[in-house]
Amino acid sequence: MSEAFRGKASVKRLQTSVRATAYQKEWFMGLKDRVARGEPLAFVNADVPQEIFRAMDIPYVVNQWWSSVCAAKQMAPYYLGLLNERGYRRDLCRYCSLSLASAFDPEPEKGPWGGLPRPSLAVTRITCDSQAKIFELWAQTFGIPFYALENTVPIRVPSKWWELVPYDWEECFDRHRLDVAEEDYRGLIRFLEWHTGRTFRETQFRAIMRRVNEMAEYFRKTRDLIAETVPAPVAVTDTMQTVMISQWQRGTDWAVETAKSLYEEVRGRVDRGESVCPKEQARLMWLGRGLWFNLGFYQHFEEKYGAVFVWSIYLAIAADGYARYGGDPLRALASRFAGLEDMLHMPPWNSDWIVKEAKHHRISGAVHLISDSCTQGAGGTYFIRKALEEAGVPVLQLRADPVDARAWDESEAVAAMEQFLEQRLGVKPL
Amino acid sequence: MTEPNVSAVRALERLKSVYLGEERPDVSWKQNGGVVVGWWGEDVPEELLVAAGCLPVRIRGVRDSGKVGFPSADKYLERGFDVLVRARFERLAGGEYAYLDRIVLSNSSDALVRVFYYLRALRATEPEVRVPEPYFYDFMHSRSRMAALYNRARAVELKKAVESWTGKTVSADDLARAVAVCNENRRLLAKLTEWRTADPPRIGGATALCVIGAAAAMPKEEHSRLLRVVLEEAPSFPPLSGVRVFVTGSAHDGPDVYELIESCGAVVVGEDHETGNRYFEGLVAEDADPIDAIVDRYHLRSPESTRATVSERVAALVEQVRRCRAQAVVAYIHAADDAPSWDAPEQAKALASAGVPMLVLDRRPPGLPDEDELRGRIAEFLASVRKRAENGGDRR
Repeated sequence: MSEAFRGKASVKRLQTSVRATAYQKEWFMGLKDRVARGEPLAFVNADVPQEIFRAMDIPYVVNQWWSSVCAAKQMAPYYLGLLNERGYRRDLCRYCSLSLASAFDPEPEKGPWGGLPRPSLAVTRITCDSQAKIFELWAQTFGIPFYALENTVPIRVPSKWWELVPYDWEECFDRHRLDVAEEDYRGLIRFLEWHTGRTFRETQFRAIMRRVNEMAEYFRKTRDLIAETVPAPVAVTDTMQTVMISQWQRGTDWAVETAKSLYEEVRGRVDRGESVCPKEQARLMWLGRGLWFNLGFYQHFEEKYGAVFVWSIYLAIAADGYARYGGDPLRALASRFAGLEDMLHMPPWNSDWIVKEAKHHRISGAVHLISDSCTQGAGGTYFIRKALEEAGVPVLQLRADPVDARAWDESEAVAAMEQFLEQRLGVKPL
Repeated sequence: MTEPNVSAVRALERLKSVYLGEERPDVSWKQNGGVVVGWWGEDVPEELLVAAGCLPVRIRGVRDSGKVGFPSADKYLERGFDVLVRARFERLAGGEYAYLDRIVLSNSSDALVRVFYYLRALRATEPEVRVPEPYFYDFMHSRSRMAALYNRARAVELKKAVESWTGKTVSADDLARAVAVCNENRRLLAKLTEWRTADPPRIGGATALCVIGAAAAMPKEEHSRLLRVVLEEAPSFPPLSGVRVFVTGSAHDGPDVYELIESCGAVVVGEDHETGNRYFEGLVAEDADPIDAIVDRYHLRSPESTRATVSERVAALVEQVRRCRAQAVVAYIHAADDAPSWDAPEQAKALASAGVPMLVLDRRPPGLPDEDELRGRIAEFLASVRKRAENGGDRR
């Protein structure tokens, strides 16, 4: 393994986070057992409607989740090296290809938690130029079938989409886009029926959709509580992993219970007056993907400056982007995924929303992680900065890959952050 | 062997002049009261624009030596946007295309989808930048009936939009005429390819790139007229010698790279990128519903890297190399153009099995700032191809 930077894990403040982190390993080991007993395993991209797989009781692993696990376990430099040895250049997409890279390991059992079991099929969505290629290479590596969902582009730009999407989603998205996504989903279900022999259970699907709404409601309450409480009761390091582990378990009772537990634990801290930094001096936004190989990075600034990262896309989009009520459930599911790309990565969808969130959270400054090797993950950074700065929120842009520690310069990033805090936000060390 | 007729030389010079932007038929068209619509994305059907009486022109990038960079594009685009997109965005954000009545973009790449959002956001937040009003043509690429029907509906919407821009109703006859004009131009360009792939070739790759590119920068009828003049004289063009090279990878908005390759002792006999042969590949059926036929033509062409799997690209490349009887392949890939970088390793393997070596020039910066070094690499590669051919290793 190359001499790459080794990141630090964050110190967990919440029992819910501890339990969620422990659960994901327990769940993964259970999944491995199921696969070992002959059940199918789907390997899917993050923007694939996982609710369908759950309704068919098909175990699945999410590409970006496995990437984040590999990164957190400090395996990314080794795996990405294997990809590079096969002729793929070092600065190609890494967040979405790290799992592919891990498939080239001659000793896969040495991977995180004994490695990823052999999948039976792969499903992605063509949201960028590389997705279909990465997934086809993945599928060829294991000799398994793969399905690529289409991606469409919205023409309308709804005002304040976050107010419309839970109930008025049919009006929020172009109808022709929902029509074609529904048809695509039917094709996916047929593909899964054919290749796994499993059945799509409508009653199960409706229950899953209801649970996803319940989870989103708890996340919204948690987000609102954090936004409205000064000093902040928790930081992004307390929520990011818990939210994402729940998100990958979306539609289960466990996910609802975890979201509820997160809310109750944060509520308890608020009621008891507990905070990350009693002498909170700055409330920060972390824009872009999480720094998965180095989650301890965020906490340095709490200790030295009383600067707390209170906002990340993970809890915020879980609060505003997922809930869907009414209508046909498959069409409602189509509307969930019709908008996520725009909400997160496309101006003015993302810039308007981020400014709304900055005001709600009383944000002092925003730090934007920009990954140069991925256009998708850093959409509209100019327009986001412009919108935030016009709203009085200074922005620092940091360039790094969320999973590749090889190019991370800790001292440079810390120096940039400290300069930002001291010079742009006027914050002095505690 | 006779010298080519002066008129053919002049026709070629004129086509090159249009391609290089020295002659601007689009500006003349606009000055004469015509509607000029820019397009960016290889799925945009020129036929619909021609049928409404518009002049469609492809958005082209600034020519950059690698020293000036793209200051306007750098301001708005993340570094993950590739060199060609930056070069084109530079002209848009620099106001050079402010005269366009509209710009139609399609989702022929992820970057282009983003460009549409950014242009729209720019118009909303910084109107002083003067970018033309963008229209998005949402075109799917999977070869499914679902995608085909979706595309038909979007083409009908585009037709209505174009009618609103021009105030002219596009009739079935208008469409049929436009299809015929565009098809005729494609047939002539296909004939040019025959001279390009002849043994020995009579048309070089750099020249062909200029001729093909000019078709997307001027009225089709005039381009076809000039092309006919060239083709009549093509048999008398001097034969070209050199290693027969096929170019894959990124698209090119200028002849510089081809000129460099050919100056090293090669003839570029074909390519699979959007500004070369792929531009005129495939005809629109003239005996079917025009909208259906137009959509089919754009939907079912050979795959472009940004919208295809690796195996589709590998199969297409191997077949095209075989048809051109190319001895070698150069994959020239602009910096941050990820799609062809994903294709290259498997393409190289498949070509090696077919006895065709491939030189991968990846992460290429704008312009040719390292021209001497690059020339050395290409010359060395071509020398190895020649040596291999002399030793009987060329299995074309």
